[in-house]
Amino acid sequence: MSRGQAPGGPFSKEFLAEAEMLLEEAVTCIDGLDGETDDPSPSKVNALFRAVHSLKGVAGMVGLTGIAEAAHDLETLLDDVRMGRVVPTSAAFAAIRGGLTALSSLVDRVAAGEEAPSLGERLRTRLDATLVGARQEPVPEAPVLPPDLDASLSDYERHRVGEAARRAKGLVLVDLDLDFDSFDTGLRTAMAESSAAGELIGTFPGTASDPSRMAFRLLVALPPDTDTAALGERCGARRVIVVRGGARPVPPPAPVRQAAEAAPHVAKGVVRVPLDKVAALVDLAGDLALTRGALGRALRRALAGAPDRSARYEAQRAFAQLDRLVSALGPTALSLRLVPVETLTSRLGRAFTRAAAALGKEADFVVHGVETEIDKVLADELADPLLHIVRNALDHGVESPDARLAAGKPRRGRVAMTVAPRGREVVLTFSDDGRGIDRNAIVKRARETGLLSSKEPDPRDPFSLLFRPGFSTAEAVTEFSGRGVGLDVVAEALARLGGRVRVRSTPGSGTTFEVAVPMTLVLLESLVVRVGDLRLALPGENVVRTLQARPDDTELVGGTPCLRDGDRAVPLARLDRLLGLTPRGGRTGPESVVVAEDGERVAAFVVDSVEGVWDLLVKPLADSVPRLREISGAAEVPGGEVALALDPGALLARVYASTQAGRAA
Amino acid sequence: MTAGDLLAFRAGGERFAVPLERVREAARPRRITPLPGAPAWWSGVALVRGEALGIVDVAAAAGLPPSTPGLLPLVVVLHGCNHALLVDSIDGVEPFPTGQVVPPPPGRGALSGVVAEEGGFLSLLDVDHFGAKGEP
Repeated sequence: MSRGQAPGGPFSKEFLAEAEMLLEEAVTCIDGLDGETDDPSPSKVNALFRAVHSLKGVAGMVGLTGIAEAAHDLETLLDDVRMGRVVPTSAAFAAIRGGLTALSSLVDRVAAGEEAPSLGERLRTRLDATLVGARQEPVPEAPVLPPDLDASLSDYERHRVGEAARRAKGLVLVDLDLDFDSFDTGLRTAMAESSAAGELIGTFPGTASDPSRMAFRLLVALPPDTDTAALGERCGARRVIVVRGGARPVPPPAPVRQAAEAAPHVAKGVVRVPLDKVAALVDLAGDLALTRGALGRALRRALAGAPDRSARYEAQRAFAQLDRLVSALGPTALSLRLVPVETLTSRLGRAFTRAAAALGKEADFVVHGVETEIDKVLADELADPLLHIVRNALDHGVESPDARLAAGKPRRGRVAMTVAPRGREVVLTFSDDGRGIDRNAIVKRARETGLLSSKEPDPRDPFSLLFRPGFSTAEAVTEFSGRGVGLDVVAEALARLGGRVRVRSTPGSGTTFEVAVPMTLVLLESLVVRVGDLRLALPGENVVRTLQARPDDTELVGGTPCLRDGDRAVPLARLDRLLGLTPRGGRTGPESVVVAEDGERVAAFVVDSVEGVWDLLVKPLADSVPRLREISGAAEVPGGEVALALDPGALLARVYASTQAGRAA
Repeated sequence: MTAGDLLAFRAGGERFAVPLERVREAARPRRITPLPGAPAWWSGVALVRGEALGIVDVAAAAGLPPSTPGLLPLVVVLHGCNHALLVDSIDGVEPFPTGQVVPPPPGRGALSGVVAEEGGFLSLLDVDHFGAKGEP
């Protein structure tokens, strides 16, 4: 099967990403509801309902009616549960799980390339079969609340009120009278406090004491022995009216302003800070470090001729102190962005369980090193490529239980993930104990499909072929039941993060994927070169070496200029010509050359000069700004100049495209 | 600020304006670095508050001779897109002109309209046009 095209139409990738997320959310909810058959948490049931409802929406939007229909049926069942028309028994939960499994198999079929999968029968029929006896006639609920309040309730809210009465819970109205300027904070605090104390059934507008204030009324169901006075205080309420239940008497008016100002985000020495504020701090720290460099140079020049020795000493000492503090600030600011990798691994674990069930595999997912901390942005960006690797390990690595027994292995397979920092990188490995990959079969396949021409020698690392676009797998290598995207997409996503992926494998005993990414996405060690008036930055990790090349270090290989590099010839390109700049006039003698690689290809570039190596804050440039695709962003270099950041992958791709074109011509 | 207010500025000796609500700030980045592969009416890239922004040469985009920005060029940073406008000077905030808006001369897609005013005319820039590929 070819993995080049996106099956299921142009929308499938976005749909799959969205559907995957919603299904995962739904599974998390139903997992959380385990053992809550007696009185399921309404917020979890609602979250589940919303996830399935959203899935119906996106499926409908892209014309996957089979999925939209099934989601609709499950949504109906969930609505019945939240409205009390279906008793939340374990049978009902089993039906919901069954529905989610059915939906997830449909989504998997879209991923496998099917255009419009459907269940063949209404999901409702299946659900109803599981639900025998769980349905109940709606009991008309006697109004619990005063008629004027009752009239403003939605059906769901009325049902929750009845439910609270049935369970002998207290019902209170929390009256809020908030400052117009800060009412959103005050309201959020009160809603969070109410939900923490019981169930927040509804929020209604209230009557404010004067027009500069905002009033709200929260209807809350509370366990019978709740201290409503304390709740009122925590909510910053004007008063708490007990509508029902043997709770304690109404509290005195609480200090409104004070509560509205109290920060609700501080708990146990932890402060939650929005990521963009952290990013601003990191940026400032970076700018400060650059300014410090400029100050240092200016200071040295100024002090060189200063006659007052003690003033010179004082200035140098103060600068050394500043230097130390600024150097410490950058890493400290960066560390604010770090989160435990567990947020990522638990997501992978859930996806693993789902994928194993869908593929009929029995396997455990074991994680080591969850306490490692990584950049929050990196954790988010890594989720997709790693999900792909995990699925791949299950799909192609771990054999079916029968095949494993026949091979003398334990019935249950195992995929072990380890996370460990290594220098300035974090290394994530995924090792399965499955059938392994035969390297000869990969090379053979690559030759058959023309990915590797007959002239090219076997690559040193045949597994790198797996990550090439257009590599199509055959039965001989591994049976592929892919998800529409190949491993080339994984390699590409990781390259964007400044990372790379390698594979090791022993046929018969397993495969290991090793992913290495920089700890943080922000500071990038870069080699800055000059070409004409432009400064260009290459990520340090892609630079093999820099050298001065004499004309007799170069040769023509098949019409392509190459640099002799030890015993190999590396394609040599002039960076100015490659980027469409006016080439510099004829110059003789040695030229500055940078040898760069992207883990797969290597090439040498002639530049005007090499300026130096710095840690740069590379800012991405939006796609909407037209330019060569080799330019990915910009960064300030010491001295205030701006360097354009080069994308090594795109640059090498251009060199190889032009040398092949050269050969053909 | 009332709806319909404009920020007016000069580029290439002519007057231009953009809706005030689309303006984030005026800034003076240290310099503009040319971008290989960008059309001629893109002046390059500049770092403004740590963000890499594409810089549109308003004069060139309107069919006038391109600007030659020196050190500390003046740019108008816009909301809702990743670019800024290179201008010569800023005239200030002005109410939407009372004169009749006529369509721009052909071949000037970067303009949404032109209004005659005392001593010349005011060109209204279509700020969303620059994100698109192709000719101004």
